[in-house]
Amino acid sequence: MKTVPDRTGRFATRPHYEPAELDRECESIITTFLRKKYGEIHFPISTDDLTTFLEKDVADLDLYADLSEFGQSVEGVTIFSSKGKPSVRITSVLANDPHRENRLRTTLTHEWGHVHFHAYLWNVGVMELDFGGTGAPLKRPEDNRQICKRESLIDAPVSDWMEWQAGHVCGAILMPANHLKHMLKERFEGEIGLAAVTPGSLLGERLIQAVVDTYAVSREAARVRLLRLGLIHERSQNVSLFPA
Amino acid sequence: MLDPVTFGQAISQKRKELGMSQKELAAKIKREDGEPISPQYLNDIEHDRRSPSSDLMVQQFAKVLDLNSDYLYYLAGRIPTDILSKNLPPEKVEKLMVAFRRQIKS
Repeated sequence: MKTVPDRTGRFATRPHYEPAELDRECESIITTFLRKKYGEIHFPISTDDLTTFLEKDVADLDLYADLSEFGQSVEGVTIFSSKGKPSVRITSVLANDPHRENRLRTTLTHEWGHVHFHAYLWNVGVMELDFGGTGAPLKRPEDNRQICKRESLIDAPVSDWMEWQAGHVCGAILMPANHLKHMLKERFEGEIGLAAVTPGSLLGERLIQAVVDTYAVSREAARVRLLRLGLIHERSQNVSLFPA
Repeated sequence: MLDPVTFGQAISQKRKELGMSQKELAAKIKREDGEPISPQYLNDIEHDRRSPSSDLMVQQFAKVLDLNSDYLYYLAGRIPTDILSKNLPPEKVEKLMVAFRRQIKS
């Protein structure tokens, strides 16, 4: 992780993580959690385990919150505090509908991303260090909230660094990089790595489906994860031995 | 960890200490009709949006979470049925409350 200027203006500086850094840390944390609980690592991680995984790091988790005040597509809110652990509120719409369980899983891990990687930014000492004598600009109550909308839970634009990082973390917890690569290697030995695979190709479809089945995620979450890990590519890339 | 100040906080705190999810705990707490309470109902209790609907429920929370049932009755603002069923006269209740307050002050 390195510290870079925050162009959103919310902070003076912000953490920058390489995707591989997030992948490594998340895989280490979630496998340690599973090994401690079960003595072995098995995926998919259950939704119930995801709730206790998040609960250990927050002051409060409300799984049946009314988030209507934030707008229709808001599915999770993390409320940071300079005095202690953050609190997380998740819309009751997700937990009450079995058909939306994948979205609940995505939201739980996305909010965990904010809790684990961003809560320190609200630490008073860090803020004073960050802003020096000018003081932190975070004065309004809403400045302590990270409001997460459905459309940006998995694949936010890079410019929205907090959402992008939490989205990447969500994939890295549900579909840990090494576990996923190992699983695909076992199932698709000899098929992958020969040429670039696109999501719409037959092999791309099979890879996505394998990830969906193994990790209990949506097709979109699986597609984004495979893209970010470089295992599929949006456009078919010509492999040339003679680059221009 | 701070002492809980509400019924919901006591339940939530002990559940987390025991590493249980809301779903797991809810499955162990039965309503009077024998059906388990829903995770949403438990979530509402933990957030003090609802109260336990019966003495039976308070007693089950105490048993499953290994908490003192009298303490839970106190946090829930309920008088246990075994005391309530004695149908105490007003002057007796008054005396007991005075004794209770005196004990708290000492």
